[in-house]
Amino acid sequence: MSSSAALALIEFTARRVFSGKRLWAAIVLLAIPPLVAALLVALARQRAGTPVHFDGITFNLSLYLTLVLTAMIYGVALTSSEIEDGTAGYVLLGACPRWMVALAHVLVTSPLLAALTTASIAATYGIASISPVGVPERGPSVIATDAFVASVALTVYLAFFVFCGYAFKHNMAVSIGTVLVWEFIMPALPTKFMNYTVVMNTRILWLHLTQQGERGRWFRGVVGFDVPTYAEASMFLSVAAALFLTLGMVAAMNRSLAGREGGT
Amino acid sequence: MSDAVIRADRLNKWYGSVIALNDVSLEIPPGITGLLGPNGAGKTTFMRIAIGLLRPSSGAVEVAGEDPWNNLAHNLRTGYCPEHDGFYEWMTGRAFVRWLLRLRGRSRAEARDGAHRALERVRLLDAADRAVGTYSRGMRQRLKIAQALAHDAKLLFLDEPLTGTDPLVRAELIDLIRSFEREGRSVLVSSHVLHEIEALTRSIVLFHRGRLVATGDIHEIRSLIDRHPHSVSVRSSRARELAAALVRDETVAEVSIPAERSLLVRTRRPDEFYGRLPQIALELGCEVEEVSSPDDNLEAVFRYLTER
Repeated sequence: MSSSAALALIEFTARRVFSGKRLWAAIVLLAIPPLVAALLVALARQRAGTPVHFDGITFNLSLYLTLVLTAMIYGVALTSSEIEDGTAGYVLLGACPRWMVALAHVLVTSPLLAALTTASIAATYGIASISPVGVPERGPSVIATDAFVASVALTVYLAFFVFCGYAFKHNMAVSIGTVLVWEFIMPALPTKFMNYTVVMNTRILWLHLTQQGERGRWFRGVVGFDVPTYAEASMFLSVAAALFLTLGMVAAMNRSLAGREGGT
Repeated sequence: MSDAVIRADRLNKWYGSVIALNDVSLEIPPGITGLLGPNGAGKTTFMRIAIGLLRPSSGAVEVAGEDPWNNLAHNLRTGYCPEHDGFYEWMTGRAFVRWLLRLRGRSRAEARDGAHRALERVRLLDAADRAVGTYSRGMRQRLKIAQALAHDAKLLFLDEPLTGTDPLVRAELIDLIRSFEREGRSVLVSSHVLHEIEALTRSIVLFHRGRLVATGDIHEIRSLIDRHPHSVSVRSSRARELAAALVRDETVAEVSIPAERSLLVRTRRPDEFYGRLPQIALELGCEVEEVSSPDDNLEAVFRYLTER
């Protein structure tokens, strides 16, 4: 394998992030938090004195919902959609090994999506700053902190969806089902399993970085046992990202492409 | 030891409970070889295994003496033109070929020059800077061939490259594919239309329902096909006028109009008919949008071969 092929793979992957319908879908998703912020600003102006929790907009919308959906769109688009469309074969028949193609999907796409997410977070706080109550509680480091946490979550989710895209024929069902049960329902249940979800550990990172680890209003439902420490959350997210990345690379090495028609 | 470029040994491929390739053992010599069989015969599966996109369920395949699965050196020696259109529709044709060259390790300058040469070779330079999404069927076929040959592949796998093209494009592509052999490349080209393969090569491999039925010279199968009327589907905006002209032609046995812009012609002299069709269309001044051959005539031959 030549270094020029590896470089081309990185460039080509980056180019695909900013093209096609997937980009528009990501833009629409990432525009939701600033739009909700704008709506809240308008409401706050009408009803002066009403507390507006802008952290909730970035925290819950950006990290909890928007990130998962954005990562899913890109994870599916770069793997199974390209297999279905018949374009994956061109890339997999190049001079780069298949594991490197899967690696590039995650390591090239994550920072670019994180940049888009940062823009969304910055826009949200920019709009929040013009409200009568302003941005509460935290200083200018808020955007950097949120962006960092978002990048970590994006990497884990993207690695998972890339793995699903290469490993499962019905990857959309697997991806949506897993995320729905494990990431949306499980964190809402008062069980120990919530400590093994990406969304919970992402929240822990965020709380330690912004609220000195205090639960605050974001963990009203978490009672009866200790939430993970910063170190435990970091370890969980690192291991999850590495595990799904490795599984994705192995799945790419073993994925047969039967063609768009799947026939003979 | 033979000089086969592709060698398969007891190759099997299952899709769930459906068998796509059934105990296929064969050797394909250098030069152009036609892979012939009706739809669903296993041609695409065989090609995809040989190119390294599919893993066989059992058995082995060697291309130039090597296993093609996850083999980067094999990727650089071979070029693949898939049957179905799979493109980044937002990309220009030039960018598409250039990117694929770069993914095969070419520098920016080499990729730029290589893409230009390949597009020139398939006569697509005029449309090279247009988005692929705006391309006609014939242009898409040319682009797929351009990307397959751009990196100087020594072995080309062309899966139904002539399907859906108009007579003019078809003739050009046939000339182009034949020129690859003169350059020392080997070509495995698939089709379900005997006439197309016959125009390209005498060496054929026949598949039917996942099994290898016969290999060898096309002339042996040719005598069989003449016993069965050959069906040709023609698309034209002036289908009725074209039908009226065709029915008077001595090469045509029967003409029907199954749809508004579509003709179904039955002929026992396909060679002459394919030569006459452009002339008749030209005399009428009507455009032929697409010519294709349903595989029912070939199916009849395969029935004969498999039941004898």
